[in-house]
Amino acid sequence: MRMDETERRIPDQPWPRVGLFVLIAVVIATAGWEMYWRSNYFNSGEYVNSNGLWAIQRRAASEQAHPTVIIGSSRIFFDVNLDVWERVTGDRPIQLALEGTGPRPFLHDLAEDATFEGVVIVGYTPPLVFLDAFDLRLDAIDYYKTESPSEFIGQRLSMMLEARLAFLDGSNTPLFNILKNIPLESRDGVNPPHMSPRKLMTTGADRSTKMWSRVEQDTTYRKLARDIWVFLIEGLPKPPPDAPPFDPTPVFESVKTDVDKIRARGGDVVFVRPPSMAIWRDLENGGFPRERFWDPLLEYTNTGGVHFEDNSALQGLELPEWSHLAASEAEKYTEALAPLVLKALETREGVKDPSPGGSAK
Amino acid sequence: MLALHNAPFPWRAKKVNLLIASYLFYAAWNPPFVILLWISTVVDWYVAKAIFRSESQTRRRSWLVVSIAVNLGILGFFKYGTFLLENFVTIVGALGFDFQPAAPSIILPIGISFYTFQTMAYSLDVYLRRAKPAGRFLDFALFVTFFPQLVAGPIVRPTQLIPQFAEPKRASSKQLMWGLGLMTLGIFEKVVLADGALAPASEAVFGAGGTVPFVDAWLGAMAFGGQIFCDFAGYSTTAIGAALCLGFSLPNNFRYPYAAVGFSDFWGRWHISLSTWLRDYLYIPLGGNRKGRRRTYINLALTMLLGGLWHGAAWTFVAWGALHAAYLMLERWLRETFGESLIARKAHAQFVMGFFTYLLVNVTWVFFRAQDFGSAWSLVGSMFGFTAGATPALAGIYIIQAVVVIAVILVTHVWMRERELEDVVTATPSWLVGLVWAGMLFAIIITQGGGDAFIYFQF
Repeated sequence: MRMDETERRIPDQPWPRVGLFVLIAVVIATAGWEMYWRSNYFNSGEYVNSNGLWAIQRRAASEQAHPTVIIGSSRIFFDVNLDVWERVTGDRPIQLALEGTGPRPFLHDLAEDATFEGVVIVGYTPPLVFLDAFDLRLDAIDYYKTESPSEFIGQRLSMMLEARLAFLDGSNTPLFNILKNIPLESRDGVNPPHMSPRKLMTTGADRSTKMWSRVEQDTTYRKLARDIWVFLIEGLPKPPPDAPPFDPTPVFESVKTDVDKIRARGGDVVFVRPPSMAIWRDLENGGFPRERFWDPLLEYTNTGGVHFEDNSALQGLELPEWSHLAASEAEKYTEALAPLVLKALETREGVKDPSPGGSAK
Repeated sequence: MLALHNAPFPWRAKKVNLLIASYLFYAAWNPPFVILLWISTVVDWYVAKAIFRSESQTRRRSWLVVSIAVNLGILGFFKYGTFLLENFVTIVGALGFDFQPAAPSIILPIGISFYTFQTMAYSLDVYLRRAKPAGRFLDFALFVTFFPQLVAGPIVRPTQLIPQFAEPKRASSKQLMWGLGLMTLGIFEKVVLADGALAPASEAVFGAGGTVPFVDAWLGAMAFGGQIFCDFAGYSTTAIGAALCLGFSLPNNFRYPYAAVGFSDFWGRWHISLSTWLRDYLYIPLGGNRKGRRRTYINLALTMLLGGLWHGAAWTFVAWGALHAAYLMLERWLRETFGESLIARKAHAQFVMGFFTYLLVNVTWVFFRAQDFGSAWSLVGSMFGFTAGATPALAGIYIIQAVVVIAVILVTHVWMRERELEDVVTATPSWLVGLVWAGMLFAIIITQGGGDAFIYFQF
């Protein structure tokens, strides 16, 4: 229809028949697609880890009286089982951790929220706490603050579908992610898209998260996950040899400011260092030794902390891809962790095994 | 809406439903900004009536100035307020004054560039005696806020849409099916082609932060060219389809622009509703090509510069407009100097001209998309071989996606250049129509989409 016309022409087709064909074809194709993914470790009842889903929990953190809130990156996201924590302590925590993202902006966000007066459990993954470069999901905070009515409604409509359709996953299943994950030879200087982290977790409606079963059961997929970590870690920029040692003091100061604000309103903060192994543990302990980072952080901010290397009950657990606990191991970890966190909140010190065998294995 | 629109209510009740739905649609983004829609609606309703009733030309002009001042005032504050302030600070800084204003936090209301132009067209048409004021306020309010085209066009003329509200409109089954088909096509263009296939290549190149090789530069620019076409044309097609499902007809906004031969042809095919608006309400009132050669070039330049600025409050958009102005002026000069023979009628000459038009359009897209002039010039430099120290930005899979989709877009545009979609669909076997429709819908479902906003929502 041109600008000077007022009536659109309709193509001459048997539209009822065409429409019926389209409807049947799409239903069959979608059903087939759904069946394919369900036969490949995907299940319904799992939700996309979207900013909208995060915003629902963030809102709850502001609205509930004296909540327990978990912030941090994927380790604390996977490793704390919300059901077990609730069973052990009687209190169900609100999960606000986000993968690939440091916790400090989220601690600051809670500190600036005058309505928040709860306990914050901060997942401590050393590079993500001290380096600002880890900001993969930082936009969640802005999304929460500026969520429009249409986004609010859209999230809830989407969750109705996600609850029923396994392929609505947002990570491995979208068409262009499938294409992105095809292992093509990379050009020099270009990070190959297929070597970025794949699906490792499943998430519930309240963001309770655990390791995806395929990582535990499919040895090929698990090896791929490890290979990707090796690729990413080896590709991290190295500081020049004559660079001065990283000074964590500004981080200590900003954390203390936020901790004090939360405490002034009757809340508290505690740090938790989840387990890691192999290449991850080497990087973290080598680049961020606890005597320069973890111990001084607790002392400077006068907070309690639970380090897995200090507590035998938190060691010897299975980490299929070296960085996150298997689902059943996360249950054991949480069962042992919860009382230690409560003790750390009480003493405002690092909690260690009382026996001499509390050193790292 | 479909259910309410097809229920046995009086036509006036249905129009009220549409109006409320349109306000709710707009409020779903940010409720307080509905007030701006009301201001624009109320001002232009009364202004147009006053213009129509006035005998005195002075008085008529004064009322028109009120309409333009209010609409451009709203647009100027919300869209250009921060830009004007930043440039003011730069200018006074260059003069030696250190002026540090408080950082403004002005939210850009979605669709403001579209609906202010649409309501101004109403007052202008009444002033220019091209149209009479709408008979009912409800019809006019619906013309301003009609939700399918409210946030990103097409910018509809009052004479096209208001008469459609005069009598009951309900989609026939054929209109409903074709409307749903157009909506599928539009969403497919946006979700699958723009966001899924082309955005990764565009973002990789424009976000590279350094010099990129020749191939990456051209592919990145062409990927963005494809992305912005599929995004914007996708929105327009969806809007047209949604309106058709309710029984209303909106005009086409794109006509296969990447098959354009020359820039006059391009602007007859790209964002047609804006280019014709600028022609009818800016270029022609300025004198068009009726006041001599020099004045014609000035009018052309002014129109394209303002057209660039309409898109965004940044000098890079003005540069984009300036490039198009330069192309149009050069084309006009060549035509005037060498006559029509230069733009030969032979197919191979048209093809070559079309190819160069496409390449030059992609150069302009660099300024449209780049964050600043530094990165724009770097990319343009790479496009013309200045690639010292270049680092590749595009992964193989993104190159493949971009090349395939760009090739499909170009072939489609060239083939459809003188055709209408409705004629092509009529001539296609019904099984193939169904298969393509089902394929697009299935592709939308399995692409899933990240909820990325339409690019033109920011204008």
